[in-house]
Amino acid sequence: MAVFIQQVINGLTLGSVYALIALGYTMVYGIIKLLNFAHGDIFMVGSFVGYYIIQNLNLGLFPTIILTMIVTGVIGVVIDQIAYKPLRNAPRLSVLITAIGVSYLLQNGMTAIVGPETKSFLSAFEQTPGFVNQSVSLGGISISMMQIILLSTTIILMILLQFVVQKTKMGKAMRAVSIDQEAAQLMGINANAVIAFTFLLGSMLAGAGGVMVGMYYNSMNPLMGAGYGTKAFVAAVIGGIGLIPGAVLGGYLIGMVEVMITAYGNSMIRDAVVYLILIIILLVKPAGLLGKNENEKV
Amino acid sequence: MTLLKVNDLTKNFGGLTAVSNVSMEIQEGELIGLIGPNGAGKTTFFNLLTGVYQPSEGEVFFKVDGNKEKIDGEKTYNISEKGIARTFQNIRLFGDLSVIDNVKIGMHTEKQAGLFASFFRTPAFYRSEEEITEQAFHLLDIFDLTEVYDEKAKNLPYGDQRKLEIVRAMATNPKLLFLDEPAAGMNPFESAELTQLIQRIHKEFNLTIVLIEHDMNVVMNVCERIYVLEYGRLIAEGIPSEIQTNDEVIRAYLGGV
Amino acid sequence: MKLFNRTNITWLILIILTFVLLEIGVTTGFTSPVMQQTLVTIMINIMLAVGLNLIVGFSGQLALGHAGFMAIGAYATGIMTRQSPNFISFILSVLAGAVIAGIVAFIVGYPTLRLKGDYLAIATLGVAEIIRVAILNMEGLTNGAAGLSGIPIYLMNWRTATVFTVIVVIFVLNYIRSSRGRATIAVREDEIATESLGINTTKMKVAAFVIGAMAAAVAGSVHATNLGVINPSQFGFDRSIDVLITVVFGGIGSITGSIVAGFILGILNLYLQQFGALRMIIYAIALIGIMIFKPSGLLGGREFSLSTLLGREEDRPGFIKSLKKKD
Repeated sequence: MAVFIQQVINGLTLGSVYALIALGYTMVYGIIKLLNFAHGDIFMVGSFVGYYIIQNLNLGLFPTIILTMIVTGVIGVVIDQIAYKPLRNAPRLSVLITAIGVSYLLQNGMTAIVGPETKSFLSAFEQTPGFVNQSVSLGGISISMMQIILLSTTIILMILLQFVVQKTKMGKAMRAVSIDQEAAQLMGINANAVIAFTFLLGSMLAGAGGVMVGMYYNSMNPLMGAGYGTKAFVAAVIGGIGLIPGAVLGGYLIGMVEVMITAYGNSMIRDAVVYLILIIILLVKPAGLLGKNENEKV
Repeated sequence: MTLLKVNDLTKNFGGLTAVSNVSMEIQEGELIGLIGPNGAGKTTFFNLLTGVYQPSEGEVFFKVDGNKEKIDGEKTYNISEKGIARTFQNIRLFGDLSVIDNVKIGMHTEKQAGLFASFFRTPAFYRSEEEITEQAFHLLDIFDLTEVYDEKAKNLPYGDQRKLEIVRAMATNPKLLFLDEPAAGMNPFESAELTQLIQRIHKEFNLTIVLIEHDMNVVMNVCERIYVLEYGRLIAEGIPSEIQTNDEVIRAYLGGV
Repeated sequence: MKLFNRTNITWLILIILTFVLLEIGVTTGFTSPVMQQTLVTIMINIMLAVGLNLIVGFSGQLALGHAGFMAIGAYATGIMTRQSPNFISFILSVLAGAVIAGIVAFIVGYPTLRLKGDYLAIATLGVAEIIRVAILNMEGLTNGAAGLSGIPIYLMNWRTATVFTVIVVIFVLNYIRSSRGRATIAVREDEIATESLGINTTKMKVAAFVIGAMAAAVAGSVHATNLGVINPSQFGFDRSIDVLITVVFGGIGSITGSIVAGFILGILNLYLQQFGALRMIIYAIALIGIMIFKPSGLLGGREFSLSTLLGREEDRPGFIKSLKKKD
């Protein structure tokens, strides 16, 4: 039983990571119907940015996370303005290909800068911070300090996001643009600014995820974004793409499934099972767990 | 002979009842008008009959090969194959395809070469393609669209696009044709010409037609019988002269007096 | 026989002429082995792209798992030709691969293509991954992650690859230019209008998907005998994306575009090899640039037509005499 609870906590931790990344996918899809393949790579960039911030500025974990979020947020907006904005009225496939191009660029650009090998994140610190190896024991279950930090930071970020989307003027504009971009523009909403803001939010969350994952697993490389990114994307679809609560639910579900299969099953088939769940959900409930099927107006 | 029979058809969208307990009976060879203020549920009614929406309640029967068949809840393409064709209020042509291809696609279920013949281009394939082209030109001729057969559909003037939608629907060889505001956006000259065309295909093809239209000149001139919808309910039914003097109808159009 | 009209005969002559020229090039040493090898790679890419274009460009459904179907063809051929390394077994393996790929495509496509939207994209992404994991785990047959080696490469050369490509392209084109092809394009243009004409749109989408998957399997068979070594990592997501890039670069909905893009990207890749690590960065920037400045690809939806070039409108299927008189 203790082992099981331990695994549940591991699952929640991994799920938090997927949820953080999935939120970026889902928000961008919700607003411009783009499967933003470069999003996972923003997450990867976040890992490296965090690494170099710690190495050069010697900041603590939380200032590093915040600074990284700002940097990745800006990168996200710049990418949107340069690569996606000229294609707002182009066929959706062209934008998708552009996103793939951006993804390749980030992966290979990063490889050119830092080299292809996997790095140890903790090597950025002159002295490994104490909390990394600390853990809390509760009746045979041990929760590492990193897990607590990861889980609580994720939850705080999600609450903040929910606040921004539901309570602020910009959030209201985001929701309006996602329902009908043209109508929103007629109401005086600057759709371009709203889209840029969406990229900002999504990329900030991915950046935070990048730092925490780098630290938690103590490993990072320029191609890590593809793996996490695809899973997070699957999570977003399972939860109901375009829906913020869906991304969170999907993220935790996938995280839990992966950890449980690795613990109690065969890790070789882990990815296949995730995709199988995806396909089954698509067949039974195509709009995702929390999605609603909509009729096209004729 | 009854061609179409609708019993208590109802459609709810969440809390909104777009069509409420509508019944009607259409005889073979009739030309029927369906009118009503904006938002009365006319298009939704067409969508229910053609399977685009699923009815919440009620039944629809259609005469197929002399037998009465229940068609409510059937798939759109099945209903079309049984002999009901339609046009759309917001034109839905295949814009990037040529005029003639739009018509040929309408003929797909009626006439097509087999898979093998298509892959290997057997003589049967060429024959079938020629027959399709000929038939398509015959239909385009009636609507005076032969000259523009090679144009992209989206480049046609608005009135021609409406006509092409009718041709495309005719290409499915229907027994019953639903026209959703065919004269919308046309000038008086064009709509007069369209009126004649509708009457012509009605007679020439022995086609039963149901017409949604706001242009009262068109409706009163061509329709033999008229149904009036308001807020999803049927409020009147009769020949044009009856409808013109019906108090309910006047109230619906001019507002509560 | 209408099939033997002037346009089609000209096509045949052109194809044979190209073959003869290449053959002369090979015997005189002008066409180097590297060029022959590049030609085979280009042919593989063209088959993949033409098949995917049928799905993406003509039926309008985004598919992201083309490499999975390629893997099926490659493994069918790898397994069968290692057992009995002769040409007949190769041909049988091509057919087997195509049929299996078609069946898998049907099983995946039928439920997901009833839905509108990007669901096929997501489902195919998953299916390609499942195929990859299945190959990894069926060690007895596929040798797992290490893959199959010693596939008889003497069964493949540029001639065979080109013949297969020509056949695949002709079949796909003939399909597109039939009544079913028109109905398929109609689905892309407007699904609701297409249904209102009595066309079962799911059926048209599934048919396009199955044919596209079968073309990919044929490409996989050629790939297996070309390299002689196959393993699951050759058929990852990147490979599927490469094919999609070829399709979009050439022009969505243009078979000519897919063929031209297959050549251009094949040659470009050859020259970019010398840039080493920079290669992918240049590739990525080129991709973004092309999409920004020419989002509809090189050819848009346009096709090259020999009958137009020759002024032989009467050679097109469906031509009737009254058409010619008008001009």
